[in-house]
Amino acid sequence: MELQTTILNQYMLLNNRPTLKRISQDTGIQLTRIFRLFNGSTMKLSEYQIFNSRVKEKMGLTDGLEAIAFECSLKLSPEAIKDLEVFLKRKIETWKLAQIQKQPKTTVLIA
Amino acid sequence: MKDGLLMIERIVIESLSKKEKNIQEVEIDTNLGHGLLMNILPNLLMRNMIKYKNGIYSIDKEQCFSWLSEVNKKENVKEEAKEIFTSLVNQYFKKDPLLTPKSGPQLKIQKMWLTRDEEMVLKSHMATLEAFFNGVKETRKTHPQREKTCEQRVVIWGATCYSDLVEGVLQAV
Repeated sequence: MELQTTILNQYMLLNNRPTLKRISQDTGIQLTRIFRLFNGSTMKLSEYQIFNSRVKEKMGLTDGLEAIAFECSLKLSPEAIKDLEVFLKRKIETWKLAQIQKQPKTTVLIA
Repeated sequence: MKDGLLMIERIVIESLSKKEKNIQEVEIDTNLGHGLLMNILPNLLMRNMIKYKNGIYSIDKEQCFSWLSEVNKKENVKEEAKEIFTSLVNQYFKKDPLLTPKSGPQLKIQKMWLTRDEEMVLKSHMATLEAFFNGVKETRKTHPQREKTCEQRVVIWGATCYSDLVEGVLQAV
């Protein structure tokens, strides 16, 4: 229920508190069902996914790394996923090595 | 990388395989910054690829057979080749307009139909190119020019059938 409340709140906030009718049109969920969801009826997983995708769209996260990685993991072949994993791993390993070690500051002690 | 080498690790290994060096010499030979080398060298030490004694780094020749076979595995070499190719493509497309075409990165891709005879000519040109590179390498063995590792030219060439490339793209998803 907590997840449901969070996603509905996020949806309402990002869409400037639309009417129930507008929500129904946007999500494709029946108006009466929308009414029940906003009055505490437990959300189905498919309904949660619809709201979640609308929220992500609104936040501009649809083509972000996380979203595209998730889609790849669902759709691509194991070999293609391995290719991507190796590519990303090499990128991050190079980045890690390129992080310059901070030299310890030498302090001068005055007696 | 756990098994293979990154390009920035490879250049250090290549530098030390020519001659043992202190960190300043590695810096000059590879053109990598001191801070970066301070990360790479301990990493290679931990992987028993290099040794450190009295400020001098060298290839660990006693251990090298164990890691060389791993580093030169087909899969690892493939990843290194991809990294070289990707970097060349990136360099080419962000080419500095102030650089002359000769000094900047060069990249040519041609698609054409070839008759059997033309195919033979192409193979001959490619063989000549390879022989030229091998000749230069041999000459350097007997007449070293004290060149820096980082100043080597990297040349990539190859040819394949268009449909094989397309097929490869389709198979890689």
